[in-house]
This record gives sequence, C-alpha cells and structure tokens, in this order.
Amino acid sequence: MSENLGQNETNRDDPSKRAVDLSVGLGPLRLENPVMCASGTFGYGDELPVLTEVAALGAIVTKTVTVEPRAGNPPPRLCETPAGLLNSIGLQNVGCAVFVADVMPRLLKLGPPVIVSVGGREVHEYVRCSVATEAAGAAALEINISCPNVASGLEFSRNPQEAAKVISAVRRAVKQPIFAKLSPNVTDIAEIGKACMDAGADGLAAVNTFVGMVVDPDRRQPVLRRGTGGISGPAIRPLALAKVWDLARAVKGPLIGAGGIATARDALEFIIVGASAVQVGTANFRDAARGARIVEGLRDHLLRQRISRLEELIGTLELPPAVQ
Amino acid sequence: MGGSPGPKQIQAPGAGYASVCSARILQNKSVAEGMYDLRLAVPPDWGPTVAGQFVSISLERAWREDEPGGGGALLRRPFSIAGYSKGEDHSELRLLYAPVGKVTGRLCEAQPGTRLELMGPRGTAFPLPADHHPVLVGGGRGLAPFLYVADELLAEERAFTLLYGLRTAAQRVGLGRLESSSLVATEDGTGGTKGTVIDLLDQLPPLPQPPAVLACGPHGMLAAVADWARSREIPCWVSLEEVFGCGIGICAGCAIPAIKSHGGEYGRFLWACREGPVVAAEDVDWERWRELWG
Repeated sequence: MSENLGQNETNRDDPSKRAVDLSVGLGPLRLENPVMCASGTFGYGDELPVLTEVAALGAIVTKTVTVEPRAGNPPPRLCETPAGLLNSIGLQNVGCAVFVADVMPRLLKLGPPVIVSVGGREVHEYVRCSVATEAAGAAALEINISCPNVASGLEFSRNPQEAAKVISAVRRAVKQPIFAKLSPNVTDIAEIGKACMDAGADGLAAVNTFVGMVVDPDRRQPVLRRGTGGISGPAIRPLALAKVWDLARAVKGPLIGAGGIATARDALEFIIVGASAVQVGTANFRDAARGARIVEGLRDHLLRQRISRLEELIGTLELPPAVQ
Repeated sequence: MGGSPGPKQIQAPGAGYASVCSARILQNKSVAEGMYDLRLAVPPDWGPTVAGQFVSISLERAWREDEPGGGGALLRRPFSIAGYSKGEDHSELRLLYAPVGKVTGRLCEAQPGTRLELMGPRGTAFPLPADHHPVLVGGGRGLAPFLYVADELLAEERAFTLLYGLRTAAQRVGLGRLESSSLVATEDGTGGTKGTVIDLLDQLPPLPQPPAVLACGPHGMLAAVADWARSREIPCWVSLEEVFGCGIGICAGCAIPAIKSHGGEYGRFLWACREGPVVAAEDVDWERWRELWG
C-alpha cells in the first residue's frame, strides 16, 4: 500500500506523468481511464477496504441486479483451481428495489461512473431493471446475458437471436449506453457479438467465466454444490484474450476486455488486441487495490513507450508475416 | 431462545481493518498429529484484535508486475487467531493450523524467518458476557480461537470451562495453563472421556454462573452443539468455517444458511467473512445446514 502511495506522490511532482492521457471512449461514454472492476467482484462498494481504492477506477461495475432479490446458490460456492477460481455464487443480490433505494446512492458518491450490471430470467426483467437503475443514476448498463450459474443463465448468450431480443428490448427502453456481457462458452463469440451490436448495443464486454468443474475423488462428488461453476482468474487469461481478438476482428464498436487481468501488462494485452477498456475481477479478491495499481502501471507504460494517449494503443496488434 | 447476553456483533476496532502487512515466521512446529503451532512477528502497531477474529495469509505475492500471473496460490487462506501479544519491536501472533490443503500443506514446511503476506485482523469477536460462565467448545483444529479466548479470560481472572473434542489422543494439542479448566473427549477413547464434546456438555459440573456456549469445529459438531444449547435455552455462539474467496465481503463466496441475514440485505445466507466468523447460533438455519453438511 505504501509503495503505491509513494508512486502517487511522485506523480504529483512530475508534470510529464500528469500529461499522459489515459481516457478512453466507449461509444457515448467517456472514462478517465480504462480500468473497471468486473461485475460481482467489488461487492456493493460498501466495504471499507474497497472504498479506499475505488476512486482511482475509470468506472465501477456493480454486482448483477435482478428484479427480485436472489439468495444465491447453496455452498460450497468456491474452489480454487490452478491459477484460477471456480465459483457458483448464483447472482446473490438484494433485488432491484433495494438496490435503487439503498445501494445506488452510496455507489454514486464514490466518484467514478457507475455501470449497473443487470440480469433476468425473461426479457421484461432485464428491461425493468435497466429502466429502474438508469433512473437511479446509472452511467451505463451492462447486460449480463452470460451468467453460467443460474438456470437459463446461458440461454440468452448462446443464441444470437435470443441475445438480440434482450439487447433490443433494453435499447428501446433506456437512453444510456448499454454493453452486452458475453459468454465465452459458445462456438462463435463473434456471431453473438455482432447480433448484440446490430440490436443496438454500444459495446461488448468479454468474457464472463468459462464453465468448469472440480471433483473430489474420495467422495466422488463435485466440490461445488451445484456441480459446475464458472472459472475466472489468470488461468483463463489467454483463452479470454483470444475471444476478445475474435470479436475485435469481427465487430465494429468498443470492446471491454475481461478474464484473468491482474497486472498492467495483462491489461495491455487486451488493449493491444482491441479492447478499449478492461475489467479486473478475481484479482480484487487478493488485492482490492489491483485496479488502482493497474491504472498506475498503464501510466508508467505510456511514459516508457513515449505514448501520449492510451487510445493510440487500442487494436495495434502487429502480426508477424505469415509463415510460408 | 430467551435473553441472549451481550452484543451479537462486535466488529473489529477501526484502524487495522483489512490492512495487509508482511509477517515473519518466528516458530512453526508440529505440536500434535496433524497440528502445527505458528508464531508470527507482526509490526508493533498491528491490530488491535480480539478473540474470535481471523487473519488471511499467503505464502507469496500472487502477482508481480514482472511476472504476470505469478505463482503459487491465487487466494489467501483464513485462520482464526489463536493468540496475540503486543510487543515493543514486534507483536506476536499465534495461529494453530492443520496441513489439509495446498497452502497449509506448504506452510508446514516454511522455516523461521520466512515472510508471509497477512491481511487482517477482521471479523466478529466471541462475546464474553460477564454474567455468564463461558463454556468453550473446540473440536479438532476448532480449538484455535479458544486458546486466545482463554488468554483473555485468564487476564481478567475469569473462570471458564474448555471442552476439547478429538478423534484420537495423538491429535491433542497441549493446553498448558488451561489444563485445569479443561475436559477432553476422544472418539476412540484413547484420551479423556470416550465420546464427543456433546458427552462433555452433558457431564458439565455445576457452574458458578449460567453457561454461555461458544463453539468452533466441524459442521456436524457445530449443529449438535447448537441443538444442545437451544434445547436448554442456553445462549450459544459459533465460529463459522467456509472457503473464503476474498475475506473482505466482496465475493459472496462464503455463504452460510441463515434464518435472517444481519441487516437483511443478502437473503437467506450470511457471509462468514462479513457477518462472522462468530455469529449467534440462533441466526443460523440449522435445518438447511444439515441438508448441506449432514
């Protein structure tokens, strides 16, 4: 922690550091920097250790909100895997009414724009949640069509027509930017991404967790109560990166990269293949200051590379000449 | 259950809230079959802490900027604090642990001088109502927080009874100055009473004050102790153990079935790291607990 504070001191003393422009555009939404927390990995921003770090982020993405409160899945909900985390939380949340009345006002005081992640079982539930949270001050909406841990959670994300239905319905109902959070558990993520953009999304967030499973051989039972869960963390980073690259080559429109990002270097990988912003998820569980450190790391990288604007780096992947 | 004494929630005193520090191993030795006693040097201004709270530790940094992805375990592991003494140069923190997993399996090989990353202290404390006689019920490694509770009670010159349940006598950790206040049970009869902590509860001698039961141990034991206390209208608190993702209340991983959640926010589960680890037994939904853990 003191390391990081020291760095900030230096920044204030050094005008060249302030000169670096980390801001990025996500359609109509402009962020001071490209680093956000991923949905479900920052609680409701009401835990003290989190509060101290949140102001440095480009945006806050909330835990997914549904119309009705959800108790979530029975435990065990977590299991660490090699360089990863298998989870099955099941969208535990307070429900839209309590969220709007109690949580949203608190989040808005934190500083960064608040992107509300909305979920639902039916199209009209997504719409209700989106309308209510937009009215409560959401800067944008992330449409979670990709939670692997609820019944019917993946249906909207696996079928382009179904995905488009949700997105177009929300599009008609709200004015703020909307981003579709995509599942990697599909044959062709670009097809789904294109359908969402055609339906009116302002951008795509990719990826949600990969479906995974761990079995206890002694008990011959799955370790998670629900059997399978979603894998996150550094283990999925190269997989997620390839999905984002698939999208970058197929879709016009801003991308938000997510999947195992824990350092500025990780974030740069996603930015270089085409993401305009990144989300930090599981890394927050180990270090709630990860996002803030990544912002500083990106600033340092630009200075070292003598790049004045981060946006100059987006989608600048250089491919080696094809092997003969 | 009538008249629970004392506050149900005692949150960590402000300053040390989830702070991360580097701790140095002073001693790490096997003290019984499958049990290790770890003494850590922490900065003198660490804490303050109270019995019942936990710390989360890791053996190495998960991520280094020069080595993306890092090595070792991804997440920290939580441990009940088994003792704490403030010092001039450094304060000393005691943890009692069993090498049961990836991290503890490596931790037991760590030598004095090794540094650990330590987060905490966090969590709720064991209430020690002055008008009740504390009956501390520790099963296996669930003994850990009661070594600290007993330290606090001894410092206040208060009487208590420690009930210590084990599978077999070889797993028994020496209790030192707590021996005279303790009763031991082993499932195989190799030490103390043959049976469980429930047998010890049934055999409690007459106490100077009405009892308050504090328990930490395996799922089945906690449910049995809570039942025992409820049927006798004796106040009871339990220390919960679950896999923690973050230990700071942001991942929703450590869900425990609850009658009601503190604050009513999170539906029918409470989060062990956030509402606990010590909660009133009456707040846990023991029926659903048994469905989950037998």
